[in-house]
Amino acid sequence: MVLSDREIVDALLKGEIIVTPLMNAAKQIGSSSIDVRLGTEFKLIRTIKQTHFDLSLPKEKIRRQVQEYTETVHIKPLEPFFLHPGEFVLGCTLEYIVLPDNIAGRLEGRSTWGRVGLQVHSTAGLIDPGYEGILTFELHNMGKLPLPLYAGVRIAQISLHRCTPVAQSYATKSEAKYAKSTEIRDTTFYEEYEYQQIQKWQTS
Amino acid sequence: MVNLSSMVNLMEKVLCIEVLEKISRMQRFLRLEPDVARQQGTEVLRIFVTALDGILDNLTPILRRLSEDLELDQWESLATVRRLSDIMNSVDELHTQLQFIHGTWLQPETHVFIKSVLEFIPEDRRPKRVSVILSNSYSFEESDLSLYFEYVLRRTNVTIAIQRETPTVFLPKIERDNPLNWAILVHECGHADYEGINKVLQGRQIIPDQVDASTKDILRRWAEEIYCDIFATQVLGPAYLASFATFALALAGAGGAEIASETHPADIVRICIIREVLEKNNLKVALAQPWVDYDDVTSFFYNVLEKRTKLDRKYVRPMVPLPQLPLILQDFVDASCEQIDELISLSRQLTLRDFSRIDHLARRLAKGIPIASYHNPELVELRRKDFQEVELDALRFNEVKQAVQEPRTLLWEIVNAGWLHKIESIYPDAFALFFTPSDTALQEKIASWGEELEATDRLLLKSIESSEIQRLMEET
Repeated sequence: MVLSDREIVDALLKGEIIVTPLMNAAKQIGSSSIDVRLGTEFKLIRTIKQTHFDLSLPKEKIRRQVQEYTETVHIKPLEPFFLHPGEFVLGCTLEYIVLPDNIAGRLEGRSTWGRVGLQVHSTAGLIDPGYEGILTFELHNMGKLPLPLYAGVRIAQISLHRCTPVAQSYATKSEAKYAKSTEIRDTTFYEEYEYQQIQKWQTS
Repeated sequence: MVNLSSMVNLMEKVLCIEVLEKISRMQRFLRLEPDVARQQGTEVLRIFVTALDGILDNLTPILRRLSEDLELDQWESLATVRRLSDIMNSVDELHTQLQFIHGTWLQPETHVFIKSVLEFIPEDRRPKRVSVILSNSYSFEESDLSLYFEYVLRRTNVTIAIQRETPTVFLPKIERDNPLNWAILVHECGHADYEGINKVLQGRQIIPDQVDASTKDILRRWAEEIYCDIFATQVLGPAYLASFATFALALAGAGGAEIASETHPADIVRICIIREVLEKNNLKVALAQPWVDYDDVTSFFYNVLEKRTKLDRKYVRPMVPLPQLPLILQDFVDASCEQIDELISLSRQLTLRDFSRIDHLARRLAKGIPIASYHNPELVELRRKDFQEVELDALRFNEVKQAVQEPRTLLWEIVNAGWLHKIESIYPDAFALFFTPSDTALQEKIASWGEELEATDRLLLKSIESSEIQRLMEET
């Protein structure tokens, strides 16, 4: 069941959930959501000379390929980041979020920005119970004009859903790749067991 | 688990950890090389990596000896400290060679940090801007770049006049991500307060006429250094002492912390003055658990440096006779302390500050949570009761909401909490890792400890940046 504003405030008061910095509670806590702000770090997709991610390479080399595929840009406060039409970049929340083992979250856009074509996530909106860290946005400008984005602007919201306590929280999972992150981390798809299996068969 | 209260060879171990930290930071700096440069300059990077591994090999016997946890006698202690100094000097030398690899940009947070520091200088004499440059030499400095350029060109018989003030501070490359040591930049920003320095120097006859001209010059330069120390102490409190003391501990080198130069009074004299200012204002950041007999940040670092200084005294002899810290400089310190609240903007006076939440912030850092804002537990507790007992209407509910809002933390709080976290978490982890006998290779140990340092840096950088954004959002 989705948490109402009263339940959100109660959970914050009890320290069950942490959203920090929570700069303006009156503005950020909605009827059934908490607004989150844009942080200062972005990861842009680069044009690179590789034709594809080459799974026949050792893990370290694939990691370097992935690193090469993106470029990190760090903006200063009050400095705009222009997201051009059709462009896709990763961004992150200014807030660091801590969820308990019995609350899951969903990242959603805000109508204000949706109306000019800003998408804040394309595929990964679920926040697992027990998650801790910043949230990563998959920012996409679907409109026709460049969008000036500033750090500290409320561009998304999270809704919270209570569930029975999970048997294993995200933070304690060995495959939790993005736990306790304070920066945007690169994908590590090549470390997933399926890819390791594929790689094993391909190289055997 | 490290037993902090009965620690032996504390000074030697802290010095050793500081040297290891510099090595770890240099390793990290080398990893910052962009991919293209990395591919083209692989050989250069490889030389650095090999050199650092060689330096680590030199550290191994010292770590092994300190792991035995037997109290060293004074001669072995002196030998250990001299050896650690040599190793630190080699890191220092290697730092100068960073000129051969591609540079990297400053963190945006450095600009936020400097901007926040400048706001401590009263508006009427605040420089519009202080630039920051990453430096190849391991030293923190301040210079007016325009004057420097004029001077450099004049030596080639070309005279130019740039005629504008361009105060610039230099940050060693390997300290790029380390806000705890940016504390020393605050001292350097003090040098940019040209008017403030002149005001204190001219306001009182602190250098008597009877001293000769060259001594007068030296004393004037010393007085300026002391002014900047007092300024930095005003801005950051105990964190400045911590940062300066670890710098002096690691880099005192053959000179020893008791030796003055023509430009700077002896480090230990400066540390004494900083401690005096902190004590006069009763400013303490307490440790949750004492290390040996030291129960706050100031006494911890002061005593560690004092111990090294006493040891160096057995070995070092001053090369050049310089004026000892004369009573006239003590006069200057007293004058500055009397005017201490005039040195910085009224609203930011050190004596008005509340140090009680530093401990709470350090505990948050230990949990891996950024500290850009502060959750007031007392207010939260109060509102929690309201929330449970009363049926809230919309108006009252909005009041309760305010309790979960987090006021931002200030720069000095973030840096002091960072130092407290370093003493209470990072040092104990490092002591357990490096001074406990194990089969793990030193390279592996330093890699895993480097990750802890990096995570702390990121938390502090994020805190500085988010706090600034919160300030901007509040004001607008």
